[in-house]
Order: sequence, then structure tokens, then C-alpha cells
Amino acid sequence: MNIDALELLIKAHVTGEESFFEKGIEVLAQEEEEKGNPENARRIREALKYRAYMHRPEDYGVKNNEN
Amino acid sequence: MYEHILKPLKIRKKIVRNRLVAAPEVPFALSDDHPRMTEAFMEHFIRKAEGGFGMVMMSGLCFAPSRKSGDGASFDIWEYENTKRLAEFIDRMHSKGSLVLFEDIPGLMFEYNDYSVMGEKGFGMGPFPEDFIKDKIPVTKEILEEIAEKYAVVAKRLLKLGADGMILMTGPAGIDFLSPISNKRSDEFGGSLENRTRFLRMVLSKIRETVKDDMIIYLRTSVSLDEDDFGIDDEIEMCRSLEGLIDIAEVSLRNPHQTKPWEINELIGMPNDHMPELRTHQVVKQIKAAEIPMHISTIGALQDPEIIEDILAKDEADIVAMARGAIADPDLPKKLYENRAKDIIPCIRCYRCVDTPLRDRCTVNPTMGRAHYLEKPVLLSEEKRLKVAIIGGGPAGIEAAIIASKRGHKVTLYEKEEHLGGRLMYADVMPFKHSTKKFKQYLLDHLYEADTDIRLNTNVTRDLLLKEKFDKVIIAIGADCKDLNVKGSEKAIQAADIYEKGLEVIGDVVIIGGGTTGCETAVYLGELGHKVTILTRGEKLCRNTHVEYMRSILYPLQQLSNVEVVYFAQIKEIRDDEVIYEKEGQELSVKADTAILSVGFRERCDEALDLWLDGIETQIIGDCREAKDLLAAIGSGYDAAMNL
Repeated sequence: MNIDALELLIKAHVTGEESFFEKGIEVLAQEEEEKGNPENARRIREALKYRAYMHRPEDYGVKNNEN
Repeated sequence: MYEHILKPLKIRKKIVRNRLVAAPEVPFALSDDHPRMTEAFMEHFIRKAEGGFGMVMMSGLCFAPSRKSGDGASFDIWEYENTKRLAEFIDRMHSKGSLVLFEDIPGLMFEYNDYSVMGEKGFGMGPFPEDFIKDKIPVTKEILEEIAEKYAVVAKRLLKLGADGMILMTGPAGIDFLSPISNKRSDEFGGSLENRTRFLRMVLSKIRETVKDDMIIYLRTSVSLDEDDFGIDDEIEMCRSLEGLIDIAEVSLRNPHQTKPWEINELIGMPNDHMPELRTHQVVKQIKAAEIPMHISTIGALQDPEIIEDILAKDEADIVAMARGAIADPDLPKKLYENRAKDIIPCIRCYRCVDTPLRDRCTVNPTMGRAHYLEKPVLLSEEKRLKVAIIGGGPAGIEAAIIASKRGHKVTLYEKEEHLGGRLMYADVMPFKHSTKKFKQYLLDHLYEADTDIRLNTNVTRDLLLKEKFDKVIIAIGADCKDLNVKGSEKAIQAADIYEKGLEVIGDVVIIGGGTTGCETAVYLGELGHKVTILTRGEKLCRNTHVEYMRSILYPLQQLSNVEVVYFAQIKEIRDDEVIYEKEGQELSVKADTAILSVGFRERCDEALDLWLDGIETQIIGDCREAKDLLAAIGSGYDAAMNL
């Protein structure tokens, strides 16, 4: 993975600040665009909408296979 | 220098040599059947005192006079033999310069297990199921007064034995009248905050009256971020009402949603890499800023000395407590005194130390729970130093090389790839493995510092080993990924190859295998926007790991709306763009631009035996002997180097 993007994504996990995640994802998406892979870039940008758990780790009770 | 960390603190008649506290824990497996305080148990805590912690805390004493020793792995402090050992333990802790405090877990309250202390609902640890409390006897004011008196008796006992302090825990497993969610009493012990803290004040008043200035009283409270629960403002108001009664308030977070009282949610109190750093401390510093009239202790995956120094320098806390961090490296304070912060072994927050009731072990510290019989790796005399070959630059091989070099052996480490790290390479790629990444870097830094001859891109043969005339050989060549015996399996890539070989993943992904690697890969790719389907033949995910770590993976997995799981799926065929599987007698398919195999590992035993040389003592270690986890790899590397 692009090292700048990885650092930003790690920062997102460490600080819990979503803006780092957004920046990291954008670095990856732009890289894909530069490589001529617009579909990959679109898919990567979509990652933002799938992931909202950073803000509520207090809901950490999980059950295995109960859904 | 870490001047704020290493600054002493006077609390009543006690001097704490620095601001670092080894937080309470109960290494269950280290006690015997009685249970009695074994040498293993003592040594586990003494290592932390030796390592320089200002205060070392121990849990697992049985405070209740009428309770039988053994319940909840507790030591009955009223039994003669235990008392003798406890006195010896305290003396040994003092001889190393640490203060020693004892925690009331399982709580004295548990003596009253037949009663429903909370009235309608709950005993002490959140809401109880109705059938659990239906036959309970309501606890009257008289009984609560009796309990408070008993705490005073316990305090007197501990004081006589030489303890420096007593720890009371509210919240899960302790005196939990605080939460309005669990406390439904309608008398003077329920309702308003003043009422809900009344019993705690009763207990603390009795203890303080007994111990006067001769013991530290340390109160552990967990606050909730749920606005209906005991929160930050409540904590501040409560602490103000406890002025003069307690000396230190430690605050952690509680999970308001736990449904079973005995199911303490470890994850909120013990953060992992999926949670933001300093989450608990953000709460603690608000309480400290409110200028409560006692010292405040912060906790929650704090181990980095730079962060701790910063917290103390900014006056956001007076003391920093750590449990897992102290297990990973009991010598942490000593390393700060000696200006060797880079040598601190990073905790990877894997929960192995708290989640193995039968074997208390630490992934990164192979001496944890074994300190009473392991020797320390000291430099050997010249004539005992050997020429050693270590084959394989994964975690087992690297650990073996570091320890062997530390003992003075002349080590050559061979690795067939162009980089070191082996299976740990995933930590360089997965953003939520940042603690493991630090540990990997720790290993590499110490390997490079050691006087080790590292040879990359080298395929080792018996001829090479013979030519170099090694005295001893350690083989740590790891494991191979297992293949799946189905049509089209060659179209799939191995999960490990994404991290180790940088293989590209495109489009919609199907992961075959619901073990830890499969699930972590799903989280990693899901976070990058791939639509991921896990196909698992079983009924549960992550069966190959322990419950706390499993939860830490499953939480993000379940939150990612682009990740799906199909249970009881039998794989039939892997095609170019789909995977065919059978479930409940039906043949189904799922789109797969990339199919990923994660069905386990196969030991490279035969390859290891091919390198065996008659007449040269050889050890086969790590995944090539038995494909297990990082804990086993690091432990076998350490042991092999000590056996040289």
C-alpha cells in the first residue's frame, strides 16, 4: 500500500479522527486514477460510507453468529 | 529524561518512587488448587517490583471472612498458610522498592451472593436476568452496615500484614450502587447520586477510620458515556464527596450495554487497535481538570513513555496505571531510569494475558508466567559461546537470534526472502495492526543492534551448513498456506500473499475461510471499499482465537456494511469471476473478482528435517514444527536460544 496512505489510515485508527481516514482513502483513490483505473478509484472512495464504527467503540458488545 | 514519570509522590505516610502503577490482575493459572499463593504467582508480581513500578497491585484476595478459599481463584486471607505467604510476599515486594496494594476482587460483596443488593434488579454488575435474582433476599440497611464493618476488619488485617494500600472497585465486580441502570433501590441507597454513593461512603469511612494515615485507599470507578448512566459529572461530584476518604481515584470506561453481570466487557476498559488511543484518558483529563480533591490515575492501553510523560507534564493525571503494558514489559520503569526507552517491549493488545484462564501468557514477553523457572539471558563466558545458524527470519527466528546474540553466541541468521518479518508482514499493511507493527519494528531494531550476521535472499542447504561449521542450528522456516482441494483453486490467491508478496486485490472479494486471518483480511479490504463475502464452513467466525481477540475483530467486521458472512458454506468451485458453494443442499454462487484463500497453515516439518545434520545439535521451532500463533513463535524462539 502507498506509504502516505497507510500512515494516514494508521493515524485514523490511532486518533479516531475520521478526517485522516478520508485523506488516506483519497490518496489511494488518486493513485488508482493516475494508474488509469477509475473504477477502482470509485470503489475506494465508496469506502467512506461503509465505515462508521470509529465513533462508537463503546458499543463494543459483539456476539458471534447471532445476526 | 522522563522527569514527570520518575518523580516521586508522597501519599499520606507513603512515598511512591515514581508515577507508574502496575494495575491489578489475577494470573489465575499461577495459583494452585487450594488456592495458595505459589512461588509462580509471587514471582509474577515481584518481577514488576523489580522492574521499578512505583506501586504494584494485586487482585484475587478473598476478603470475605466466611467465604471459602478458592472461589474465583482467590486467596483466603483468613487462612493461616495464606497469611504467612502473603506477609512474605509483601516483604519481598518492599525489598524491591515497590508499594503493594490489594484489590477486593472477588469483592467482599460476593459474600452476600444470595441477596439482591440492588433491590429489583442486579447485584453489582449491571442488569441481572430476572431468573437470577428472583429468589434473592433484599439487602437491608443493617446488612449494608455489616458489610461496611467487614471491610474495616479486612483493612485492619491487611495493615497488620504490611500492605501499603487497599483498592476498592466500583462498577463491574465491585461495589456498584453507582449506576442508576443497575441500582433500582427506592430507599436511601438508591435514586439520587447522593443516595447511590452512600454505601460507598459508609465503607470508605469505616476503612479510613481503621487505617488512618497508614494505608493508601485507591478507588477504581468506571464511568459510562451513556447519558442515562453514571457519567463524568457524577464521578466528579462523587469524588468531591469522598474528600479525605480516598487518596487516588482511577477512572476507566464502562460498557452500558452489557447484558450479563458476569460478562465484564473487557474491550471498553482494555482498548485494542480498533479503538482510538487515549479514549479513556480523554475522560480522565476532564475529571482532573475539575480539580477533585485527590490524586487521579489514568489507564487504558497506556505504555508509550512519551505519551505518559506528556500526560503527566500537562497535569492531566497524577499517576498512570497499566496492566497489559506491565505484563508485556515488567522492566518498563527501569528502562526509563536507564534511558533505554527504545528497549521497552510494546504490548500488541492481543488479550492473551487476560484471556487464557488455564495458561497466563504474553505474546511479546515469553517470560510472563514463567519467571519463576526461567533463567535470564545473561552474557556467557567466552568458552561457552557457540557458532549458531538460525534458518528463517520470521518472528521465531528473529527472537532466537536476538536472545542468542544477547548471550554472546555468534549468530548467522538466514532468510530466503529479501526482507525479514515472515508472517508478521501483515502488520505493515493493515492499518489496525499498528501495535503489532511497533512490535515488529522492536524485533528488527534489536536484531540489527545485536551482533548478528544477517543473510537475506539465501536458500540454506545442508552443504552450506556443513561448510560454515556451525556448532548448533535452529530451524525456523515457518509454515505454508494450505490449499483447497476444489476445482479452480489455482485461480485464488492466498491471504498471506497479499501482505507478504504484495499481490493485488481487485473488485468484489470472496474470502474462503472464517478464521482469524480471513476475518482480519475482510476488515482490511472492507475498509478499503471492497465488497467482501466471507464463506465459512462452520457456524462461527474466528474459532481459532480466544474470545476477547475474537470480539475485537468481529466488532469492526459486523459494522462494515460491505462485508457479508455466509456460514455453513461448502466450496465447490472457484471460477474466474465467481465462487460456487453449497449451503443447505442448494448450489449458490457469489461474485468474486478476487478469490482469497485463508484456510490455515501447514507445518514445513519435512523441509525442516531435510536440513537436519547428524552430529550437530539442531532445534526445530516455530510454525515449521507446529503452525500456531505469534505467542508460540516468540516463545519457541526464546526457549531455543536459551537452550543453546
